[in-house]
Amino acid sequence: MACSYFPTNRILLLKFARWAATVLSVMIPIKGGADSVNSAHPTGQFDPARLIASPLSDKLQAGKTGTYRMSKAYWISTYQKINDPDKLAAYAALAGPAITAGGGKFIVRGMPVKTYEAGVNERTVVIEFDSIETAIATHDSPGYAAALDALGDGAVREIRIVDGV
Amino acid sequence: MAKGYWITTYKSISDMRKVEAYAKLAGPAIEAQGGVYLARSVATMAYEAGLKERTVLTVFPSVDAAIAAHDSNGYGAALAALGDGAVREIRIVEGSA
Repeated sequence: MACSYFPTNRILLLKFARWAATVLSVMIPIKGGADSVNSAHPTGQFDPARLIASPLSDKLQAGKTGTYRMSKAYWISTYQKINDPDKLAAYAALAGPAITAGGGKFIVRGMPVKTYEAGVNERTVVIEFDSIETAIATHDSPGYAAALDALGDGAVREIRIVDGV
Repeated sequence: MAKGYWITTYKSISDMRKVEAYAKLAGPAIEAQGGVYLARSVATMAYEAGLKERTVLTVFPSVDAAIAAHDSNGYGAALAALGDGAVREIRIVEGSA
């Protein structure tokens, strides 16, 4: 019966390793930034950060303080066309609380002052999240799904979630 | 004063070398007006009509500073280097916080 516990334990172990690596990398300043994580470890010591070197190194601020910090994520909605302002209003009433509950902070919500090139002069929303994971989880939440139901075909929107620098 | 946000959503890139040449010149021109890059990469996720394409978000001390950066000689040189290298949506919007 022990083997039935194995997958659970393995998942817990992986979660712990990830957590430990994150905590250690937050606590220990990494000299030289991202490159030092990707390069071979000169002393041959076990470095937990290397277990998840790729996502970590993406988020390291190379050449600045040399310390680790999580990069923020941005949810950018560039409306292309609004078909039904009533549906949009119904959406916004539900989306706002769902996004705020997910940890999102509205930093832009309005019409452009200027557009250039192929820019469309339409509603523009930028929401800041602490991580790409929380942004995606908020999009996929039941609260936001209810907002999407209310929106229906009320607008054509370009939504992108992008990692912060 | 409300901050100004410059949002560039690339629709398509036809010549990456032109985009790279543009980026080298655009960075200093944007920073000269107090612009700070918040995001500069390909979108991780896209929904609805969204495209997984290059996306750049820059914050400025004000909308006027963002417009001044766009209209600067330095940025003009960057645009000349970009030429027809990409189709881009650019919007400058006032911050809500």
